[in-house]
Amino acid sequence: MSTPGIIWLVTVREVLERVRSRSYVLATGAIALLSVALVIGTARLPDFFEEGPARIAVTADSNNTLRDAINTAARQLDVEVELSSVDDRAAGQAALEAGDVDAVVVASEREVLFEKSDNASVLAVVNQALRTTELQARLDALGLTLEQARPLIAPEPATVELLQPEEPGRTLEDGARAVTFLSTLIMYGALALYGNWVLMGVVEEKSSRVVEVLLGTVRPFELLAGKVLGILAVALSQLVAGIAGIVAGILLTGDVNIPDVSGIVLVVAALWFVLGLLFYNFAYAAVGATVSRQSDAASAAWPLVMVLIVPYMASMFLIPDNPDGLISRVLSYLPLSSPMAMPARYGAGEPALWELALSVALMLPSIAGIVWLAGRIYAGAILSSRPRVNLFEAFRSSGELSS
Amino acid sequence: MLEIDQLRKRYGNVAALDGCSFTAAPGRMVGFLGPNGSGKTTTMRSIFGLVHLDSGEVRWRGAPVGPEARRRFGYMPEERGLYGRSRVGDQVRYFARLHGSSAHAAAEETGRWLERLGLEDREQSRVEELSHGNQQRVQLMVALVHEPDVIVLDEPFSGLDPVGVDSLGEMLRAEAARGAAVVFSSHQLDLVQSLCDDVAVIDHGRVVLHGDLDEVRAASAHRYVEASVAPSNGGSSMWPPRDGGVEQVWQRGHEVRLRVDRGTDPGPLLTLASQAGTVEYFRFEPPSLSDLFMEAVRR
Repeated sequence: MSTPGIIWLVTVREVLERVRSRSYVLATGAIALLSVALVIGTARLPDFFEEGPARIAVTADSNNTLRDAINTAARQLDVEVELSSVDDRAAGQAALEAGDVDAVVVASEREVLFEKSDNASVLAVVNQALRTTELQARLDALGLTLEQARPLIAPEPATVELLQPEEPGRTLEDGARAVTFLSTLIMYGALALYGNWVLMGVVEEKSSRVVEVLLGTVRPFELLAGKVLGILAVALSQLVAGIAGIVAGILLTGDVNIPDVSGIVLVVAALWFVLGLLFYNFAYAAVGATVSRQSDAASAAWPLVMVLIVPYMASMFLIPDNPDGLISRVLSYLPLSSPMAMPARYGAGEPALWELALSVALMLPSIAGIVWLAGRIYAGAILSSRPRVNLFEAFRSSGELSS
Repeated sequence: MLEIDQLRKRYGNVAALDGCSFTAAPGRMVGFLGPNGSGKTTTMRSIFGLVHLDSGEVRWRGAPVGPEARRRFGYMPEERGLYGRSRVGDQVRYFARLHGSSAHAAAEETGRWLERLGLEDREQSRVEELSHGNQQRVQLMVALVHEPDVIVLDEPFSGLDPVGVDSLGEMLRAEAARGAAVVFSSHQLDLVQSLCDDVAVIDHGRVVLHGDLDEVRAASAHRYVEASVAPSNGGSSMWPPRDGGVEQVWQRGHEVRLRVDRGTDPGPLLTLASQAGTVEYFRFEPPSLSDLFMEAVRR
């Protein structure tokens, strides 16, 4: 049988063994449900937390000027109000007690009624409105216009000058920032989680000694590639479950104010999901081959975890605010960091197409390189009976097995 | 013919294999013997490309063994290994597939072997749920499911009870009768003698005795006398003889085992024995495998 045929058999076994397990079914279901919940939450939560407009009732003895002034003041002070009328103070009190309004303005008494506690922003709006109407009345009596009177009432406000104004487009909308955070989090989680699957899978085969039976008939590289590809396929199935959950959530909520994510960001994120997993999973497999016990696996893998932390921190805290800075650019080109940094830059800004092409052009040969490197280390270490094999030694002694 | 030709392998200062050579022919069983640390496992792993040899070659049907030929080999390593969490049927089918069987053939072969080993009701069990003996059976199935041309088993009888030894022996004989070349290592020399057509004895990484078991026994420079003689009053004290090229191997009560030269006439020896007392039994025979082994690896 040909090498691709063997790799296919190994891949299929890997996928079936994992997909049939209860933990896979539960985890994948949870991913789909969480995705639905995320979309619904994004759509519904703001309504839940944000207060509606302040409902202010004005007694009928007021004139339209006061109502206009309240609206104007509310706009100036950035307070949302909803105005209504009540006949008199008693009616206003009843409406307040019934919970139909939040405040009642008794115009003739220059009085504002609240139920339990006063609301500072409503009070500020009403006070400003009262001041304006009163001022207008007094000016009318004196025969002056507001413009003529303004210098008498208040000095010109201070002027503002920004010494280092922010460039337009540099700051992120909350939505775009959330998408960037989320994609970085998913990418980091996926690289660490599925990398760990590969690691533990390789250690399991080594510690159970089944690997010697396998290598009696298949080549180390075939075994290695089949495991990595199988786990990649399972990872993609869980990614699809997540995307299906998001789509279902959008369909359920109907009208969602989805952050403005262009299609290319999704394509870039999916591309890097695959490239990143390929790159890192081969590395995890090489590390797994160097240990003989499950308990040693975590300590052997810590350098990889460290390597993952750097682009993770950068993509979370640096790139969103400065997507086109030098460090951000370099991180998005280098294969160790591009799986997280490039999608983060796409979430935060608009990198040029040549930048995407460059990082892919660097990534593909790097994957080929790590496949070769991991293949040698794997072949050099997988049959060793020592509890821990040095990576470099494993690389050199890979002649022990024809990889 | 499987040819193991002049294998050499050093680990640091230790020569694990030092020109190890022997052959295994289709339809025959080779008992591969040697003291601990003599290079048996390293030789067997070499057949599967699991050792990078310093020099030497393993050939099958005249050509160096590569991945394609190995696809038609079956291997049971000294350290048994299976996927503990996989189900028995899945696991055996998987190995059949890796060895080149089509999906259909793999299913058929697996069904047949499960039945043959009495595991048909455990097909859906996870390997880790099986008893030790049944795990051994699965390990054997994994090595044999694809009707291999060459079967290599490292200590297949270790840990088996007498009934298990018997049924495994029968199974291997059947595999050889089907036309497979079977090589297995063992420390149970009587078992090997009763089971094998050929033997290869390895010591310090080099094969010191190899060939058809009956022929190497006959070709030995020695013969063995085993007798039990109950001394009688007034009998001669010339038994057991201690000169004339006679060497005593062991003595237990009235029983004695002697080594003599191949050309020795047993008649005078029997006469000596009967003069000493009542001869309860007297055997004159070529060396047993155990004798040959001790002769070959004596240092």
